[in-house]
This record gives sequence, structure tokens and C-alpha cells, in this order.
Amino acid sequence: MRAKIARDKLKGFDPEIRQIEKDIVTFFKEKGAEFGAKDPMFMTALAYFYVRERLTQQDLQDLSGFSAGTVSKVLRQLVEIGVITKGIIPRTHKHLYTMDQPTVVFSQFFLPARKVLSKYEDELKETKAHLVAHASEMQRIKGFKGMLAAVTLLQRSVHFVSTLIAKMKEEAEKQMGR
Amino acid sequence: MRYERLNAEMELRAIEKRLVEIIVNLGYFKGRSRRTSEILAYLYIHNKVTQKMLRKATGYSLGTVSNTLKELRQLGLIRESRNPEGRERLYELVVPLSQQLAYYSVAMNQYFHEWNEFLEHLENEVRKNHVAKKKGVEEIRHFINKMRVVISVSAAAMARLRFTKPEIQQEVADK
Repeated sequence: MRAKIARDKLKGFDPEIRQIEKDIVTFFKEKGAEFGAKDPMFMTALAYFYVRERLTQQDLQDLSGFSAGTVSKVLRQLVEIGVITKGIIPRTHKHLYTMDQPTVVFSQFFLPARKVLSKYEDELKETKAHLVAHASEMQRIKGFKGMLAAVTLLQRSVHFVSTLIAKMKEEAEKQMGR
Repeated sequence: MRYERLNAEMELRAIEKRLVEIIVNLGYFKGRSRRTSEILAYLYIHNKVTQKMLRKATGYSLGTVSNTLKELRQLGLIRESRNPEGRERLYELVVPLSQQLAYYSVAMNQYFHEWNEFLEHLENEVRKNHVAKKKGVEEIRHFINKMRVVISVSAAAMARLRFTKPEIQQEVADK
């Protein structure tokens, strides 16, 4: 029984390779936190998809050691932002989550992200214009200055990320000869 | 006059609420929970906050606020300090919002560098004789090739963006 559990946790990899995979997961988690303050559980799931490409909820649960609830939440999030897709394993009721080749991941991830970002960029621009136009009535209210600064900087950040994504798309097409 | 001020105040609070919502939605792309992003949003807007201020603004219990602040401290995003005007602790962003863009655009170069070093290390690992034919090694090789593309594309795109002034870059590099 114990041997079966141990085998299940390896999910088809030999122990030496499983250890390398664990190092990859740790790297994803640590660097995600250090450079983008990304959620460690989110980064763990992302790392397993980069390595394994196709996983069921149970696979991810066994590999990560997370609870069923946590795995379900993270999978939903990854599907919603377009990093993985959800399908069904034929002749079963089980769901299979798939991360395609990076080229596809890029285009899938970029499109919704850019769409969302440009929507927010426009909204932030309008909000800033509104705050500036009504500054005489609002400037004495507590929090006005902070809000104006936050809107301005957020708008700049969103514009930056949006431009970066556009450049990444161009680079991806250039480097992959598309 | 008083009526006008009340209206302006209500409008400002409504804008604040919407701003928090946008920050929460953007945080979703980083895998952040609503609770974490909401608290971060108030830090972005109000600069320095206390636990009580956050409880009032978000409606979360003091325990939830305290745990979230602890998580954010562990992620290195915020710091805690003594409030000279009272007994409550103050919380603020480690990198102020005004410097975040410059900070992260410089930090990303370091990020890509560390990724390349890590991929190099992985390549050496899978080249070793005792793992060359092990189950799973092909997946790791495939992963290395994929990540090389991802990092190279990201680094090239980043190099084409020059948003920061050299002195800001230096300031960040010195930290």
C-alpha cells in the first residue's frame, strides 16, 4: 500500500527526475514571489503544467500535496486567464487540463490579457480626467491626493504591461518564424 | 456648500471602490486572492495604513487583516513600522507605488538572468549519465527548450522597452 502511494506521487517519473521536477517547482515559487509577488500555490500549479502539460485534478493534488479545494480554485483561475484549457477524458467523466505549446500559450494568454488591460487603461484614463476636472471640489477630502496618484501610476503600469505584451507577441512571432 | 462636499465625498469613495476592484482583477493574473489584492489596493491608495483602517475599509476581521499583512510581509511587498502618533503599527509598501514601474523593469533583467542560469543548471543535470534514460527526463528536456523560448522572447521584448531613467535604474540597483 505504501509503495503504491509512493508510486502515485511520482506520477510516472523516476525518483531522480521527480527531484529535478521539485527543484523546478521551488524555482517557480521562489522567483514568482521575489519578482512579481505571485501567489505560491498558483506558481506551483503553473510549474507542473509547464513540465507535464496535461494533468487531472487528482494528478495535481498528488503532485503538489494541496487540498482538493485549493487545486480546484487554482485550476479555475488558470483556465479563466487562458493559460490552460479544460477538456474531458474520452469515455470517462474526468476532466483533463492541458497547457499547449508555449507559442499557443503566448497567443492564448496575450489576447484576453490585452483586451482586459486596454479596457482598464481607458477606464483609468477617464477616472483621472474626472478627478482632475473636479479637483477644486474634491482636493480637501481625505484621500484625494493618494487616489489621484494611484490612478495616475496604475494607468502608467497598465500601459507598460500592455505595451510589453504587444512586444512579446511580436518577438514570439519573430523568433518562431511566424 | 455642505451638500456639495457630501456629494464629492460620496463620489470619491465610489471611485476608490472601483479602483480597488480594478486592482483586485489585475491581481488575479498573478494568482492573488481577492483578500490579498484588496488589502494591497488600500496600501496603494493610502500609502500608510493601520490594521484598524484596513478592517474598516475592507470589512474583513482583524484576524484576516493581520494574516494577510503577514503574507504580504513574507512576500517582501510591505514593511511594518512604529506609529509615532499612537500605539498601532503602520504598514507601507517596500517599493512606493511611484517607483514600482522603474523597480520592476530593472528587476526583470535580474529575473531573466537567474532563469538562464537555472536552465543551464538543469541542462547539466539531465546530461548526467545516471539520469539520461530515466522516466521523465524527456519531459524535463522539453521543459528546458520551452522555457528557453519563453525567457528569450520576454527578455527581448523587455529590452525594447525603455521606460526608466538611468538614475532610477541606478538607485534600484544600489538597493
